[in-house]
Formats: sequence, structure tokens, C-alpha cells
Amino acid sequence: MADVVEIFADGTRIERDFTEAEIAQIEKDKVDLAAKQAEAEAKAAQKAALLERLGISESEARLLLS
Amino acid sequence: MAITKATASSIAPAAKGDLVVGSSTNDAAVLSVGTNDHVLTADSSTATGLKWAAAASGGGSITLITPTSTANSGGSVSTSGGAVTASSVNSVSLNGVFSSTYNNYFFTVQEIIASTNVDVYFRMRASGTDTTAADHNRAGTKVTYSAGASSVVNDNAGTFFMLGQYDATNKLSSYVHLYHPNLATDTNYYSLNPSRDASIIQGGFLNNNTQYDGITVYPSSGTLSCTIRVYGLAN
Repeated sequence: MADVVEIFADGTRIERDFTEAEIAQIEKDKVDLAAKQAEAEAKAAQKAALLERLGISESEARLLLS
Repeated sequence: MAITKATASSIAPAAKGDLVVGSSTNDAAVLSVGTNDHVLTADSSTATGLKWAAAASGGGSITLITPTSTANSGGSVSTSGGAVTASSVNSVSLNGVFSSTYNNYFFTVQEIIASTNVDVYFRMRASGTDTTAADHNRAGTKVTYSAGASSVVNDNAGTFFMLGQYDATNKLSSYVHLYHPNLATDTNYYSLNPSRDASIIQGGFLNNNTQYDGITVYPSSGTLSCTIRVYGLAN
């Protein structure tokens, strides 16, 4: 099965594999996404640790900041 | 118009919608059917004195634009009356939707279904290639439904623009306004995204002068189903 299907207004249909550039970008996107998810998880862990140290819940912290 | 015996047998229309018209030699000729939604227009520079062209827009009008082509990875895509419907794709691209005809556009991504709770992104596209340079600048406000908490969403020199987070059941939609994507100046955008867990209002710009003619919409992982419509705003 082809990686990419291109359909033109006149009905022409082209099926092709990813180009090298597209493969490289897909791989880069995966790496970037993993880094973003790791950053979000680290931030959530930091937040949880801080709330625990302060001895308050997240909703109590929100109340303080509102 | 004189139809000669010699030409009479050669003017049979070859396809649905073809027209038989007078040519510059006062003979008959076949004018092939035009692109969907185009109208017949007089043009003395053509051999038949006619051409198919996009209908002139009226004052202040909004025009639904049919892409010159689509491209998808995985799943399937169909186009009907300018609406591009993608089903379970890894990405869907619309080519030839931005041109010098309009300065400004908007597009809607309707009834988004993602295979998992993922972010949905879009990238601008030129001559069939996505822009992936780290020149996407975005900032906005995200307010969650559950607790009403607000937070800032932003990317400085990112490689894409985000719409929001979607899921398999809620069929939410996004609106994106684009300022001058086909002019040789920074493309600006703002978008309104009632996404799965929060409402996100954001805007930004692409820090380059590329003249874009298309977009690609894709999920951060998994697949995506949706219907995309691009509209041009009369100058």
C-alpha cells in the first residue's frame, strides 16, 4: 500500500511512497512529540511535588491564586 | 458560423459538459468542460473566444474554494463541492487553495474525530511541500471546562501550529483565519478551538515570506477524520 495518495481535480490519482524528506520529517516529529510529552510529564511531577511540600491540594492552590 | 463537412465529424464532444462553439476561423470547435464551479466567460484572446473561469465574486463575498489536488497518508480522502472529507488519515493536505485572488482566507476543520485523545496540528504548504522550519510563533489562552482554570499556550519558533486536543466521540470543530498566506510577507493566523478539555483562542505568525498555496492537517499521533473547507474573502 502506498504511503501517500494524491488526487487531482481532474480525477488523476497518484500513489507514491514517502520521499526521504517526508520520512525524515515524520521521524523528527515523533522525537519532538516525545520530548514535548516528557516535558509536560516533568512539569506535572514538579507541580505535584510542590503541592505536597506545601501541604495543599490543587484546588486550594487555585483558590489562593484566584 | 459555418460548419464545414470536414469539421462536422471532428466536433463531436468527447466528454460530458463539452461545448461546440465557433472558433477564430469561423469554424466549429469543441470547448472542453471546465473545472467544477467555474463559469463560461468571454475572452477574445482564446481561439474560441470563450474560457472557463472562477465566477467573479460580488462585494464582500465569501467563496468556498475547491483544492486543485489533495494528498493523504493513510485512510482515504474525498472532495465534494469544495468540502474535503478525510477518513482515518495520518495527514490530509489541500493544495492550490490559496492564490493571488484573495488576500485573506479562513478554513474550518469540522467534526474532528481522533483515534486517541491527541493534539491536532496544521502546517502551511507551498508547491506540495509542508513548511517544517522552526518559524511558527503561536500564543494564546486555554481555559479548561472542568475547573475554569486558564493557562497560556505558546510556541516560540515551533514547527507547526496547533488547533487543540480532540477525541473519538465529541466531533468538535476548529476555525482558523489566515491573513495573506499567498503574499510575500509573514502569514498571520488566529484560531478558535473548542477542543476536548478546553477552549483555546490563539494566534500567531510564520516568520518568513513564503507564498503558501495549501495546508496540511494532522494529529500528533494516530489517525484523524474530519471535513475541511477553505474560504476566500473578497478583497
